[in-house]
Amino acid sequence: MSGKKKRSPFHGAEDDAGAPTRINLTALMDILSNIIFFLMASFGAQTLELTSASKVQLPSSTSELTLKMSISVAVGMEEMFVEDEPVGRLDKGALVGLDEARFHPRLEETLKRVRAERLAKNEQKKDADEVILFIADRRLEFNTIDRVMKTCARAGFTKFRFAVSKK
Amino acid sequence: MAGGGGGDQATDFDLTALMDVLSNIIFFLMASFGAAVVAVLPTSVPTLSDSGENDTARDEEQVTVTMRLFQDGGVEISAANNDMLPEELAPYEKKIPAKDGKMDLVAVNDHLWGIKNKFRKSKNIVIVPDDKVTYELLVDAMDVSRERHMVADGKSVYPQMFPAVVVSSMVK
Repeated sequence: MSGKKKRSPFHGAEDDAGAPTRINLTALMDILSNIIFFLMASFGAQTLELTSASKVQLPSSTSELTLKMSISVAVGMEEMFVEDEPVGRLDKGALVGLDEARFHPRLEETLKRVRAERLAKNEQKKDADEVILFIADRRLEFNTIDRVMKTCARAGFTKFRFAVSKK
Repeated sequence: MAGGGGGDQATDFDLTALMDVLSNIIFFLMASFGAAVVAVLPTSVPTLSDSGENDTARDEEQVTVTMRLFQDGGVEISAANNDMLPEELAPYEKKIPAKDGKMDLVAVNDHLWGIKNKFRKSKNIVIVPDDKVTYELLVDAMDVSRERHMVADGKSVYPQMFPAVVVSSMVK
């Protein structure tokens, strides 16, 4: 070890003559700012509140289509949500509370209400108000998926976007 | 840019603290960005037509493919066109049994690619899973029918096959 004073690579250290070293950080600041703006923009576009579906294990897919916000229906192994609002229960992945025609009345009512509320807010119809973002557990059987999708269709939603995790 | 000094003299602002803050924000955003790995698969359910028409293909360059999915991973594929005879479409029917307890992704993809090559304008596929088929298997079927992986000039390309998916169930 030499007897020289330890020199910091950043501002505040002193050179051999005792004068403070001045490193111009402006360029680095510019780079960092640009990275932050890029990341914030990407983050904003990708964020999805999956809080209601926190117990849902999404299936994985090779799809590269990016997420677009729309009315979400989340189906886990025990509970079902529309936009974070619980609308029904499942017993080991099987829907409980189906009517005689095997539709889910509460899901249908909630979807119709949510759609009416959204349409009341918007002057024009938006694509997001016509499509269901379908967040379902990968272990669910198709008979459950089918009942939920058909109930959605009866409420006026025939188009879906399946949420998947990228492979 | 912000903070730039004028002339030959360096600005005397101590930017170290601000650098620390910005670095922290970057690490946080990068961590969050890495976790945002959700994509979507578009699909629809069949609906009644007011006119009584159906969506089965008519153009001779396209067919509507139907893929039945079985619980064990087996697949049954057929093609339909309102203006073609069943005998003309018979070569495109195929049963592909499961392989090692899973869907034979390669065989299914190969067969669908053969149909796509014959009927270039085709885009629609109707997937009909059995009741006990898992959602994961349904997503696999959508993946395997959507595109094909090929290598051209040393680069991977993914030509589309049947991106328009309708999920239906058997009439009981």
